Amino acid sequence: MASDSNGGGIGEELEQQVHESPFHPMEQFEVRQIGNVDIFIFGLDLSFTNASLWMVISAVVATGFLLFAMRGSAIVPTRLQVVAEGLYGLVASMVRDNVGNEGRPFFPFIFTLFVFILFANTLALIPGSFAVTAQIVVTFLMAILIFVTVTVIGFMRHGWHFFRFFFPEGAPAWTAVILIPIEVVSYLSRPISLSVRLFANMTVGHVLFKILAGFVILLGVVGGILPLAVLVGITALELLVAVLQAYVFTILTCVYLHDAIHMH
Amino acid sequence: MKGPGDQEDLRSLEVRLEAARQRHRGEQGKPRRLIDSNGAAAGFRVAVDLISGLAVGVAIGIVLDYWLGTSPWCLILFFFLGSGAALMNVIRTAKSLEAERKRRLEEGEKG
Repeated sequence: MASDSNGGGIGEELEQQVHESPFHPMEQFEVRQIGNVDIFIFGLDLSFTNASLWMVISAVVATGFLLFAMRGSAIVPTRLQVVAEGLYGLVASMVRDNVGNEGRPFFPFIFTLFVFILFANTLALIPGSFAVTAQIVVTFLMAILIFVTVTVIGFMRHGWHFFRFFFPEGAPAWTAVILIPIEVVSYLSRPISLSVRLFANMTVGHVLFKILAGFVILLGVVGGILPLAVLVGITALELLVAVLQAYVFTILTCVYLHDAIHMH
Repeated sequence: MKGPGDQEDLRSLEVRLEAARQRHRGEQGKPRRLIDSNGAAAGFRVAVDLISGLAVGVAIGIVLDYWLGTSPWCLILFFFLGSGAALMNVIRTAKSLEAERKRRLEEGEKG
């Protein structure tokens, strides 16, 4: 009991610190309501927050960019058109290599997923913006959506045969007692690892930004040069991480789709 | 002037076209460029696989114990199953990373 209340105290204290200090490294992840329009649906607080705003911005910027880049659809493409076609080609080859021809119907979904995460990740690098993909709710919702969809596709394609997926071919029958539960747990861990990977990468990067930026302010004009230099380097690294994690998230979606369609 | 040069141009066009068609059919898998371009990303992938397997196992164990009132047996059982699943995840990830590396090496020897 005592430890319980103690733990709550520390949590509250931490929360208060986060609220009070704009320099706290976790302050940037706080979800705040925008405006004072409360939207409650079935008792759920669905008010418009900064997270919602930046998801809308990501979607709008991504759509706007693609539409603007492809407005000419010239045979000899403009620079932006090359970028847009490059994105298309990247995802198309990803789907082709990892899922095969059966993956074509899912291309729009996977392309949307990739572009949305890519823009959410990279827009989060703009100072003062909000890192949507550093919210576990957001990444987990995407992961669980993919997980459920892929499982449904698996059952639609193979019916009850899909359960064979949980038993590796060629293993002796008696090992089923151990292997099937292990495979099931491994399968269930997919949405967790998928969402945590993206979430953790983004969170770590942004905490690092904030801490290093804090050093720059604390050390002043002369001493702050070193952390500022490091910050510049980290920014480049984070740009790589943002693109890489969007890529990894998408490629793993492809791999899961492949498993559901081909079963190994 | 029309001459053998035209023929050569046509032939090289043919070769390039065929290569493009093959790529399109997906017979030559293009190497995935980004995925293990740095070791930290690969390491992170493996770490997350390891933790998520174990976490899901333990979570299932705790929930089952709560429902069935069998504390702590389900937790113990699913702790081990989760460890197994974690290892399975890691082996699978390692295999795919290794396959990729090999493919890229072969690709490098050719090109």
